[in-house]
Amino acid sequence: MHKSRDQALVERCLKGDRQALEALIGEYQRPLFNAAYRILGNPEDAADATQAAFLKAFEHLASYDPKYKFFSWIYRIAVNEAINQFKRNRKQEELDESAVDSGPGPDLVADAGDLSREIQDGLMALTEDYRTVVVLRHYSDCSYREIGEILQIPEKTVKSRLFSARQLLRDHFVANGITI
Amino acid sequence: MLEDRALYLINAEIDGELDASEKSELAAVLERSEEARAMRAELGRIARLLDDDADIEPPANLSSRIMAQVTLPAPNPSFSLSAFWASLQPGPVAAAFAAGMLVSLGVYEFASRPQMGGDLGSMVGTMVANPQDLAAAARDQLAVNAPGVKGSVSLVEQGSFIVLNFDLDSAEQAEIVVGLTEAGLRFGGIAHTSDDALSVDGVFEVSGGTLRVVNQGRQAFTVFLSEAAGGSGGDGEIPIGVTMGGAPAFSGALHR
Repeated sequence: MHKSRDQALVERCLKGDRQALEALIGEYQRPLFNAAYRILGNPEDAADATQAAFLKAFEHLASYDPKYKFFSWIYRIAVNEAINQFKRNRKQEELDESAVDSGPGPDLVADAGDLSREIQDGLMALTEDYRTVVVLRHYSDCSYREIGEILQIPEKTVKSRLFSARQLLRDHFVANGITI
Repeated sequence: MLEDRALYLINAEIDGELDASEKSELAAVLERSEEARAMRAELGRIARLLDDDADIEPPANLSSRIMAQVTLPAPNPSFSLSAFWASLQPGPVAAAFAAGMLVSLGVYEFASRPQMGGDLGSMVGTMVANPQDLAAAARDQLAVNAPGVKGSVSLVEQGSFIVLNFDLDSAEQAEIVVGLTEAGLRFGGIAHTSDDALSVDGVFEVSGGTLRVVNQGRQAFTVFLSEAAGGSGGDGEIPIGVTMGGAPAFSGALHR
């Protein structure tokens, strides 16, 4: 969230500086990928959504308004990409009865702890509206205001969704016998 | 069943968003409600679980995948040929004059001229009265033969004009730099001179007493210069440089 540094990098990108491009990708690929992963529940889809978000952002870089944080701007693009990808996946699964489980891939399952998987399952049990605010608050450390900016919803709605989502997660864990 | 207000206060506390009066209000709720205390404990644990859940690593090749697909605008020229780059001094007056000349001359359109040879009469715009009457005299020629860029640059004097004819071919994007200030020259105009070559419209810039042209592929263009006030008076060198990917690829000079 380095506003002035990001803006300087954006200006350099607009002049064709690929080192600045690399710096912005390096700065944000990890948080964007993780946000996408938590929304999508699948690392391959998350990588695709992250890539699509960066491509879209740099394609429209000239339209970026520097009075907003670059972080918020590119996060909004990434979150929207992830949500759209999730909706496409869901439609495809509805069409394809033989669709495989869209959960974490085998590598991730092997690496991730049980608790982390339970948490991800809990997140995936939420609707994407609720899941997204939880991801932005707890995984991306966004404030209510930043979440509102990214999702373009009022702060009041952010709070309402976040508070409901936490209770739904609690209910999910209790219903599945997960000790919290 | 907890009231909405109690749930709001518990959640806002988790997020560190309570003000002083709300903290007091929550303390009172917790004091009198066992259910509120239990909910606060459970939601607090869930929030910590989420906060502590570790990031996963993006795929190792994600960054390179993105880099490979992003197209940025053509880079602005960056003056990096060390020797004469460092020696160039900003020339605000010359730059202002050049900018004025550009505005007044506009962009010259040449209809299939394989070589300029100083034929200014076919230009759109007014640069000099009856320029075709002026005798052209070839002064120097420079062969450019460096990795990634080949071609030639010739210098012709025509009346009071110094004309540089560029015919270069670069495999990658190349930045061609002409030092004007140290040659005592000022920029008068630039023209694309061959239909077989890439246009130079929009890829050149005059600033700080230098002309910079960034392009890729075959580039045939002519640069019109004239003596700057207090210039070297006709016996100076005109430095020419080419950089590729930000690194100097060629450096030379034309002699008047």
